[in-house]
Amino acid sequence: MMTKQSLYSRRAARVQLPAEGWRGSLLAAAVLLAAGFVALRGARADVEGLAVHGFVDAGYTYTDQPDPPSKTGFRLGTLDLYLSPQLGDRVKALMEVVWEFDSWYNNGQADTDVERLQIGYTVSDDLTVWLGRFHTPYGYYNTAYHHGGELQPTVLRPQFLAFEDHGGILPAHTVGLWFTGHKAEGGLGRITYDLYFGNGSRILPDSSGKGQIDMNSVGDDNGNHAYGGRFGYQFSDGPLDGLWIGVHGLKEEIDAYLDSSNSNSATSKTQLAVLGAFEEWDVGNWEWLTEYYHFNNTTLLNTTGPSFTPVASSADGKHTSSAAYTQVSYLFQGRISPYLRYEVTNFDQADPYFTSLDGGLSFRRGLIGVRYDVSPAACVKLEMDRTDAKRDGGNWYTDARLQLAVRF
Amino acid sequence: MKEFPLLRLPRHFFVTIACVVMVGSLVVARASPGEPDAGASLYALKDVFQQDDGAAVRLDHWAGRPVLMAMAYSSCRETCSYTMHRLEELEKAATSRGQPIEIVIVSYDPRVDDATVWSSYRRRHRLNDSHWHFLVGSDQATRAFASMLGLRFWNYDEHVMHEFGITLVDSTGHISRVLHWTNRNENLLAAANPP
Repeated sequence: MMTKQSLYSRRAARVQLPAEGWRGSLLAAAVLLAAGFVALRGARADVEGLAVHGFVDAGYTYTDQPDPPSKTGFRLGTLDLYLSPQLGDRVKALMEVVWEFDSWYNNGQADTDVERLQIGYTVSDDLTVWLGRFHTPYGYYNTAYHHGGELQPTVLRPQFLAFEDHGGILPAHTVGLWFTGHKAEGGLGRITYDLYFGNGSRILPDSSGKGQIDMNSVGDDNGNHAYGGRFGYQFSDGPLDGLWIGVHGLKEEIDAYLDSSNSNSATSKTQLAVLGAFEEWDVGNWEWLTEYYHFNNTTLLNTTGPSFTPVASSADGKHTSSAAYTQVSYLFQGRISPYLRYEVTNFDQADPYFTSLDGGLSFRRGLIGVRYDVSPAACVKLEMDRTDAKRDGGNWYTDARLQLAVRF
Repeated sequence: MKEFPLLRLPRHFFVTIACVVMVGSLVVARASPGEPDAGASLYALKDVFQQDDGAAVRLDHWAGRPVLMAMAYSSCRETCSYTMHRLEELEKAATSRGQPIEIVIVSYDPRVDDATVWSSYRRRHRLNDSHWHFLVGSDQATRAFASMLGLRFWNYDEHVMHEFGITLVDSTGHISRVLHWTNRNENLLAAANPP
């Protein structure tokens, strides 16, 4: 029996990623080259040119986790470069490339990811259509905060909303079409909406064999597309002034490929079905965020053991799980923002979707921290969290982090 | 599978080459930091803005009195919050000196900040005094205003990345003095005409 140590200690077989590393590097190189040439062209054609902007962060982490994704010590965060050209009245684009370091158990290798590559067309004030790779519009956090550390109010995202390569359990990115917009409702507020359709994701082993979601950037592996939507209402008057509430849903079929001896054969198939709700309430200096996710997954294929032998699913293969967090912060003097967050997940450990994923263990986490804006382009954050992952065989552990983040 | 000779190169080779090209491009393409247009009157800007009460207004509406001008957008909880904090401090300083001052804030983000949104922002931040004015203009008017104040900004998805700046404008619409981040604590109003 395998001993589970932390949220990140997964039992997946020790297999290697498909030899696709150079493809990612080539893609990143191509995007950067294109960016460079666009910038050069812009410089010749226009005094302002097309500027490349970005984010950098670094810091120090303390942890007492027995099998942590990062050990105690100084830590490099991400280098994030992006371009967001407005190409005429209606066409726009967003390209974002991130260099970051793998977890400790993946040897801390530097990775290059084209995190977002999307081209948009503004149909009207109420509707924009995006094509490409975008942040999946579910809940609040995933589309409010992106990859730059300086922009995030905290050092850590809510763990279950982490990006795919940081132990996230949802497809934070989707490759496909995204329709987004809002419609004003008199002087009371406005309706917000998002609809998307794209490639369904898959689960692949990372370099240490732990499963992580891959968003199928160059075609869908099983032909079962992802689709979902988010609908909300932003109040601009009355007692709920400043409140944004909404609901969202996501459905797709996700196959896991964790068998090192047969990387083309799925080791599990899951019909992922997520329904959720969120609120964001900005009341002057106060901000309150809450998100809830309910999983109603159906197992279509499950395997067991080192040879991944198929096993029959229990009953109808249905599994329910849930995840939620709430976070509150207050802003002093426009620059100092202490915050508190409580996060709890309840992942069914009979659901192969969660057992395939790094980060698929249930946990509870309390987090406290403070952010100080050193300047308009730099901030320092200090935070500490206490996590209980014992329910599914993990440990109690404590992390503390200091982060300096800048944008340019 | 046949392997192309080019792919035998270390994978980071491509990224390194691309980085060199891009950084070089940046050096060429990057615009110099923004500077306010000290020579021109802001009141020469004839674009029409919308106030948070829905009324249309041009900047020369405030001609004849000193005005503090700044830019912000409603969903910003970082630099804009500090801008509001400093504006409130300057307002208190002016009040204590018996010095009338108008405060005009133009949105960086006309995609979102219509009159209703600004009105909500004013209430939630308790900036209800009549000498606070929240404006939104067209894309073109927004960029023209920012350019005259020397404020650079760009979009990053739904966020607007921007600098800090508060500008004191005299009765003729010319810039008297500017607070940048480096001199953010200075008494800007010392340059304003006493009552």
